[in-house]
Formats: sequence, C-alpha cells, structure tokens
Amino acid sequence: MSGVFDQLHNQIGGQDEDSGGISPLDLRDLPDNQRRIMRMMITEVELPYTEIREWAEDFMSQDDLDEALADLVMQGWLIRMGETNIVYEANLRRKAGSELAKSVWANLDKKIAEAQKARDEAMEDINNQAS
Amino acid sequence: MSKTISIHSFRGGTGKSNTTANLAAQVAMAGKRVAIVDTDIQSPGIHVLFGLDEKKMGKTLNDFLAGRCPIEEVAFNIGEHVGDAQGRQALIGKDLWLIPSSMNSGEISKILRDGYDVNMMNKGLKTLRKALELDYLFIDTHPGLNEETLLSIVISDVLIIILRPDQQDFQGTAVTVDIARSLDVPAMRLLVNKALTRYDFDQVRATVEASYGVKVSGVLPLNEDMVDMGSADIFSLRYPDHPWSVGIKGVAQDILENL
Repeated sequence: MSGVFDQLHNQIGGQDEDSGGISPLDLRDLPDNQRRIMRMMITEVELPYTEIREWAEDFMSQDDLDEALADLVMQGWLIRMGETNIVYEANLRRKAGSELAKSVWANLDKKIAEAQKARDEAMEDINNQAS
Repeated sequence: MSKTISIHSFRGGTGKSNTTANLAAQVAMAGKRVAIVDTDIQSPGIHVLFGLDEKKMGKTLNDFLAGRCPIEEVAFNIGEHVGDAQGRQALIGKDLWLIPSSMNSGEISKILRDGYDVNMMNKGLKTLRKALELDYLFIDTHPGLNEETLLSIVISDVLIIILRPDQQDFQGTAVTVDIARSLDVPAMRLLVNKALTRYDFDQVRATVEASYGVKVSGVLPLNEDMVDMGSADIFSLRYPDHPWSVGIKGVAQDILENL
C-alpha cells in the first residue's frame, strides 16, 4: 500500500510514464494470426517489413498481414518505424517495480549500505590481523 | 541457427539450476557453443555451480539492464576460468559462457524496487545469440509464472519443465503446460527429478506422459551424492557414471538429436 508521500509524488507528476506494450501472457488472447506474428516478433525483436512479409507469405495474404500489423501497432504491441524502409519492433511492457512505499525502500537501501560497510570493515580487520 | 532452451519449474526445489548447469555442460562437452543466462534476478544461484561468487563474476545481467555495459561484457567464459573443482576441469577449452545475475543485495533490491526494461532484456538475449555465435542458449528461470518465465517461454524453441513426483508439482506443472501450449511453444519436454529409487522409472515416465501429453526426456533419481556435493561442482562431470549423470546425459542427447 503506498504511503501519503507516494501519493503526493504521483499527484505532482512524478509517476513513471506508461510506455504501454504487452506482457507475454497477453499473447494468449490474440487472434491466431496476430499471436503468430507477435511470437515471431518477440523472438526477433525487430524486423523490416519486407522480411516479415517474406516470413508470412506461405500462410497469410499481404492484406491480412498488413491489417494485422496495423492492429498490433494501434494496440501498442508493435512499434512501427520509418516511412519508406519500414521496420517493426516488439514493444514489451516494462517490468514494474515494487508497490511498497518509497520510504520503505529508502530505509532498506540505507540498511543494506550499512551492512555492506560493516562486512567490508570486518573483512579488512581479519586481513590486517592475518598479515 | 541457435536454439533457445528454457528450463523451468512451477515450484522451487526441483533441481532446476543444477539441471540447467549440467545440461549446458554436457552440450558444451559435445562441442557446441553454449551460454546460460540466469534470469532468476531475485534469487540467483547457478553461478555457484561454476565456482563464481560476487567478487569473481565481474559484470552481471543487472549491469546490462541498468545500461552500464553491453551484454557481451557480461558473458563470463567458463571454459577459460573453470576454477579448482575436479569435474569442471573437463570444461577447459569448451565454449561455455555464463551470464550471471548479481548477488549484491543492493543490486537485487534496486531491481525489485525499480523493475526493468523487458525490451532491453529481450534485445540482450538476441544480441548474445549472435555475438557468441551460439548453438544453444539455456535460460535458467525463477520458479513459477512471472515476467521472466513468460518471456523465456515465448522466445524459446524448447521448454523443459522439471517436476518432482509430488502432488504439488503435478498440479503446478499442469498449469505451466497449459500456458506453454497457449503460447505455442514449438517443443516441450518434462523432466522428472528426485524420483525415489524404489519407483519403477518406466512406469513413472509412462504415467507422466499420459497425464500431460508431453514427452518425458528423463526420470532422474533422488541424488544424495549431489546434495552432499552442495553445488560445489558440476555433478555429471565429476561422477559421469552415476545413475543421475547417465540420466542427464540422456536428456542432453535428446536435445542434440531430436530438438
């Protein structure tokens, strides 16, 4: 549950920009053609349109392919780049961080740093005694 | 063309990291170019089997995801740094790399807090396959269904699911198989690990195959000798004639010949 300071932070525009994109599990809900395209695009990451068309030519008409690509771009699952030499890129959703209050993480970071410093100092003492 | 193999289990404690390390080692021993990525960012461990610790491992997957280095710099060449363990000596000169996740508590905390760019992870895996000219990329995953597991399932040519002969694992495996099928994984195998030696392994194999409709690539015995080793070495290289090792070599053979 976020604290009051997190809520204030979000209100003043401090929240991360939502880049959209898909989670791999979203693939299950796609129509067959689109799922097939996205599966390939997630594996390949980025492909020129010409290569996608070549890959699809045995099982999908160009019209169907273009329609599917347009739909996937509109949903934010593919990013289309360029005007003449068009390239498509899979857009995977960023893995979200924790929803714990930021103050909890700040305290944890501080304690971790203190523990690491103590461990390093102890190791140095041991090494000094050994020598 | 390289193949990506994900090693997964629904629950923890199935022997996933040990299995991944041993399988990758056996495939590298067959002369293939192999890399292992430890995507278990929240509880990394496979590096221990290769004699690495926080100091020795150098750059990690966390450094790459934070934008501090290209992924090629994270690839630790096991074949050039096998360490002292007896079994790992067999890997000298072999083409085997490990992309470890950080054991630094601050780094783990940071990534849990901030998350990371999954596009970047995905691009990194593709870059690795090309840069190292890999024949096989093994992905060691965190147990259960999570972002990393789902991504690895989608990009994998082969998904190997490890389970113990245990009701919790049986139910969890059914969930994973269902999801893997819905994500159109090209090939799937089940690997039954930690089976009691008094079981009829042929019967276990037949029952599991019938239950899930997925081929079982191996039934491996509960291995007290491996427990005793305590992840200090690659078991199948140290004890190549042990029944567990014979079983894992059979799984490696299945990968090399059929998948």
